[in-house]
Amino acid sequence: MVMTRVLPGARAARRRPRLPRMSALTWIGLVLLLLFLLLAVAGPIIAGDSTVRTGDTLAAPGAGHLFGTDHLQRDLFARTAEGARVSLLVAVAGVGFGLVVAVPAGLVAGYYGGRWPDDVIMRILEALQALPLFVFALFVIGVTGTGDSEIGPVTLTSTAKVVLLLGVGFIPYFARVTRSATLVEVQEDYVNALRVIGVPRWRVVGGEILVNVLPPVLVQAFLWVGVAVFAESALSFLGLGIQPPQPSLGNILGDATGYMLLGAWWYSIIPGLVILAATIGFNLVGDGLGDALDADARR
Amino acid sequence: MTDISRSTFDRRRFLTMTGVLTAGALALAACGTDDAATGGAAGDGAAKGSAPVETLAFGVVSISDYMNPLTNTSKRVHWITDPVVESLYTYDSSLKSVPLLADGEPEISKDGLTWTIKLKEGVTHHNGDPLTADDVVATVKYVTDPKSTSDWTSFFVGYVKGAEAVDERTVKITVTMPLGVLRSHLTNLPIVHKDFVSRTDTTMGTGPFKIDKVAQGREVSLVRNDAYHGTKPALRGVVFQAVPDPATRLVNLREGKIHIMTDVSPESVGLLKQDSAIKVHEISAPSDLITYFVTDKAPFDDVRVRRALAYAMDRKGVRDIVYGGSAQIAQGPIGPAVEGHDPSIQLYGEGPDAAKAKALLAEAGVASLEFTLMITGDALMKNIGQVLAEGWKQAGITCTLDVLDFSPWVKNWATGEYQMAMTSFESGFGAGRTAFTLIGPMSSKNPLNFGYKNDEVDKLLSEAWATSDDAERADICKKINGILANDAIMMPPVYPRLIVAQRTDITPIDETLMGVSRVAIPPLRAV
Repeated sequence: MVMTRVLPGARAARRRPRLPRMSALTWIGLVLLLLFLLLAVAGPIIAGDSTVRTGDTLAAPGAGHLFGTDHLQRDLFARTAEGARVSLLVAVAGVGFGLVVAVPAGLVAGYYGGRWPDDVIMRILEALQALPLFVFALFVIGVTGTGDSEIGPVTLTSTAKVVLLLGVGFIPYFARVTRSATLVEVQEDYVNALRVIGVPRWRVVGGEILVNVLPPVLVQAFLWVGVAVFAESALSFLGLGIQPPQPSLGNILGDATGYMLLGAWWYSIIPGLVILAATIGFNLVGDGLGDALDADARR
Repeated sequence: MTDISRSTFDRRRFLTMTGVLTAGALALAACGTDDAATGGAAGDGAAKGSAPVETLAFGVVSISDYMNPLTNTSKRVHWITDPVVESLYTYDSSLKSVPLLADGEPEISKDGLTWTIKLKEGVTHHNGDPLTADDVVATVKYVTDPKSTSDWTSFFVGYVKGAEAVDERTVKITVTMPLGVLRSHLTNLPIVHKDFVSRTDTTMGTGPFKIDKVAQGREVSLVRNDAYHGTKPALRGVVFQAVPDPATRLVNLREGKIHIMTDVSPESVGLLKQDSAIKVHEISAPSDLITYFVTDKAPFDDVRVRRALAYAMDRKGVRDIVYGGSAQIAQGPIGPAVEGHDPSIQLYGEGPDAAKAKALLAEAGVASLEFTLMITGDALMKNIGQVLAEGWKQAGITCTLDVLDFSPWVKNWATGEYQMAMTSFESGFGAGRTAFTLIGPMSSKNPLNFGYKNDEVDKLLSEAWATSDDAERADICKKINGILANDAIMMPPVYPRLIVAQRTDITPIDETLMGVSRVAIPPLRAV
């Protein structure tokens, strides 16, 4: 048994907490993202009901109202926090829905790369991708209306419609990433080895390849949460997304446009900054994650 | 591999470039023209500098695709076509109906079922065709044909049997019952050239202006009709511009790019009043807020539930927050600018009376009331809907807003696919000062009535439309208003005012005519 003597200085150096090595941009992104998440998660708990009237119309930010009040006398901090929560939930749910559909489709397409299942899946996805998200959303909302829609026994709320719209819009992108990663994986020796020893195809795909293609797909999904926050805000800004009195960052901004001239700068600027922080935060952190993943793969 | 990945266009570089491009775009925008900054809504003849106004620029929220005043009675059409078409009768300075295209008063048969109207001689349409009885007959036939799906059918179908030309300048209109209110209808119904009654792209009449150009949904230009039979306008033309954003409309007015602005948001009235170049008109007019219930289904088939809603309604909140205090608290459906208004009715409080509402709901056996309020997607309706929902919440009533575009709203409203619906419109274009549009659907025979039946209201409505005496009709409508308020079947939270702003480099708009929703353009001229 070999005893290794550890010097006291070296031990201290090992114990000293170290910040992860990240670029300055990733740090900025992380700070912005944490601020957004703090607002979205803790904000609604601190601020309370976002529909309660305060008695002050378009009050400027101050001690009483951190973000000021809106044209219907509601506290803008409570509205913005609740709006951030709604926007985040809708974005995460939209991306989640997109992943649930796109990952199996991409796995199948990649596994059968070049054969008919790949062709069928990819042509469908290309058709879907050819339709811009907002044109698609305008078409769907134009047909079903902005309110709740009943499809058979199922009632789709306006929020659920936005989630589905975002998810459907994201499917081609997630599926393409999944397919690309799967095409690389199926060339690996371990896949051939599994086939040779008689492991069922579903297990090879679901149990082995999926695990290896997920990291790049999840990084991509993380990046798209930022896009989804932005897209949800844009839809709600146009009146096609979340409907009042439920706030979302987009519909707050939409309501605010008419009050800029009356001097209520905070009404537009604050939710606008929150959207900016979320979009840039998710992008920069996602970018950092992608870099880390690439570095890991190179090692 | 490393070299290749370094040379690719990565996300970081993309963000940097986006930032640079955005900054560049902002710098370019800052150097751009005023037009770009304000939406470029300036018309050909918009006022700039001190040149006298020859072509008036009129900013509206939207311009209908249907440029025919016979298709509907909305402001989107009538503010534009009013200077183009004329009616058999018009309003004088005291809003009394006086002949315009008609040559004198109508001859009404003793049984009241036949109206004979002579037309003024020497009146021509914009294309030079003389106004004849055939034009009047074509117009009346169009609005009495249910297939035309015109708003005007609700005024004429079932009431007017037909119209015929006795000679070139005499028309005979036959009605199914004595119909004194027909005088009001004929004062508001535009007479359109017989070849244009069913056209939707343009219209032709005998008015002081004629349509020059129509850019569908965007801009409509009118030019002076030099062959006009009455006093010719001083203005050479009018340009109606659709400026949907209220803030852009306001900026355009302040900068002189438009001379008149409609649909002024109540909160910007204060700002406009500070500008010495602008005059704001706040007029008591038939700018009605209307609520509808489907009463053949629960929960609103029970009057106690409707009353609970009426007691818990936050009228004060709507008046103070949405209308900045400019509206008047409402009690019944008929407002102060309409025949039959009764200021003595004081059934409901200004703020929500949660205790009374809860007691009524308990009496009706409704443990928790949840319903959907169907509204249109404009900012005003959304604001009112949110304030009302918050007020009802105090009484434990859950109101979900169903925000729809205008077309699906109308479709659901016309088919009774709603629980409670709310909208606003200028009823003066169709009904003038009468309450015909407002309370007509409360007749159990009206196709837009979904379940409300009150025999006394039915009887009173027939009497109101039959009488030729305006004072008598006002008294009857007052009674109906009281019944409807008590039955909580129509419950506008407030009576809004018509707010129009204009620049002071043109003469003031006639405020009396604004009392019937009109913005009279022909008398306007440069100051």
